[in-house]
Amino acid sequence: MDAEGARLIAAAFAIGIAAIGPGIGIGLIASGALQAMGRNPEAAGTLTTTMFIGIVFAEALAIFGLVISLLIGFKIF
Amino acid sequence: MLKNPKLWIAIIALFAVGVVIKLFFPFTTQAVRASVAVAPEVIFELGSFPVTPTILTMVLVFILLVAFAFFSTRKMELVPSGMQNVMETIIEQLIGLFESIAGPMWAKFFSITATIFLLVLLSNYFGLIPGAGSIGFIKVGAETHTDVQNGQVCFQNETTHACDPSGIFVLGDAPSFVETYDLYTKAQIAKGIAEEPHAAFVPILRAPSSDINMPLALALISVFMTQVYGMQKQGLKYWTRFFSFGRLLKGDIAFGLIDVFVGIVELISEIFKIVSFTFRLFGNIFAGEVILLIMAFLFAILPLPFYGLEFFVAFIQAFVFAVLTAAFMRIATAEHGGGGHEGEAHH
Amino acid sequence: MEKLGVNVSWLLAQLINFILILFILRLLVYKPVLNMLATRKQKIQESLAYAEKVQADAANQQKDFERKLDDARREAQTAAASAQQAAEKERQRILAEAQEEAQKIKEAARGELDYERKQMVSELRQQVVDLSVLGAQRVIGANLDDKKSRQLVENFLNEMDFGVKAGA
Repeated sequence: MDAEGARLIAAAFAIGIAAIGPGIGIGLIASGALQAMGRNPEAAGTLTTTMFIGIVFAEALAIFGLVISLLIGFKIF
Repeated sequence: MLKNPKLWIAIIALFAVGVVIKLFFPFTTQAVRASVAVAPEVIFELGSFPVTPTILTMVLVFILLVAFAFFSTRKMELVPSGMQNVMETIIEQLIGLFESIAGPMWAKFFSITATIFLLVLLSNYFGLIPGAGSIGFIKVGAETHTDVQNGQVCFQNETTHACDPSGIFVLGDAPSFVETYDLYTKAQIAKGIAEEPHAAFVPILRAPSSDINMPLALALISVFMTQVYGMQKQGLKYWTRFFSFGRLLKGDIAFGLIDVFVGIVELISEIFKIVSFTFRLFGNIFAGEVILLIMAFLFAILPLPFYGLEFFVAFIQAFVFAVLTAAFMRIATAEHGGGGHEGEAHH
Repeated sequence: MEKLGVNVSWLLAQLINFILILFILRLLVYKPVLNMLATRKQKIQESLAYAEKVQADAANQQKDFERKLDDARREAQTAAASAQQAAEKERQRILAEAQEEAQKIKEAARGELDYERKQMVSELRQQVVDLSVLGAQRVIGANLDDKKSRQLVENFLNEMDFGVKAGA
């Protein structure tokens, strides 16, 4: 395998593996938020906002993976 | 919805169009490679300032936003109508949103957070306008020969020659160019991807948020203003959040060291906020653009669901950027100074 | 950084762009709209308070009116009742008068009848006495002392007692 192939595989793995954890996390957050909304529909507005903020924090990890992937893929280091 | 026969006819017609296009215009996914560039391409230089598609789109966003602001508030009336109604509805919704997040301090943060929201929202949506990112020029480098003598813009290298009187190409419009590019990269593949592509597709419009400078600028402003508001509210005491040597100097070694460590963690997370703000917006919009392009070159109606997804993502990213800014500002202005990592844990 | 596209001039352009938009929107939108919203809120509150006041006034008036109506109704009722009472009284009075009159007439008639009967009885008695005296005279043939015989018959009759005493 030449260096270019290794680089592309590394870039794919960087984002691919980084997406697993946030995927699970976002699923958990959404499920918790939906349960809470089901129990307490009046609080749905605040819950939605809080849910999005939570999702964003989980998603940040995937974004870091994406950044690393971009850095590798575009030969930044 | 699925019982609606018209919808089925529309879907089947779209598929048919897709098949026809695929049969008669065999584009290749290689064309995508030409347009996906992290760094925006330069269209022309204004003085010494290089103008990129993202800058151009930003100017459009600016004009649109200011025009909307101007025309909607030109004559304010107690009983609103028309554009004033729209603007007031938007502002009222934003007030409700930020009031629920920033609490009673919302009025202080409102202009920054609302501006971030409107700017990011419009920037994201400009990238979703059909044609943005797919209509543009082919810019040729030094090694290709450009011929403008007989009123045509041409480019040429060892293998191909393509001309267009206008010099405007639609992405995928010039298969010969794509093949050239493909050959070129194949020739270079031993040395890696061509380091300096000599011909590149340059779209006229691109979502400003897909240029890393725009999210970075907003992130810098957001984090900087958070510090400013924190200091306005708490004075110099605000900095004990990051540099808390109080207990260490009093002689309480164990807790003092913990305080110092917490301060360092807080400082790092504060700096990292810039990174996460920047790459969250940039990553989402850029990835969305790439996905839409790839899907567009795979099959005709495939981008449709992704277009809907990107429409949603564009809004969510604007929402999240503004809401997070408001939340961080609230944490910074809250009375308890050195609160460790609780800011992120709370929200 | 360079390959990611970070470029100082573009970054500065975006920063300036944001700050420009921030100030323009602040000037054109946020201040006037927030002011307008505040003004409208105040106006709505004022008009709500006014509406409440008007409503309260209306309710008061309504109550007043109802009270007056009630009074009038009650008055009318009492008037009707008293009129009825008076009529009843009048009726009673007239009835009583009529009865009295009837009674009087009846009494008068009875008295007259009584009187006549008594008269008739006394007349009858007179005639009986006369006839007896006459008969006795004829029977006896002697001329009885008128006064004495009369007394005799009288006594006899009294003893017989017809039940009706003369002059009773």
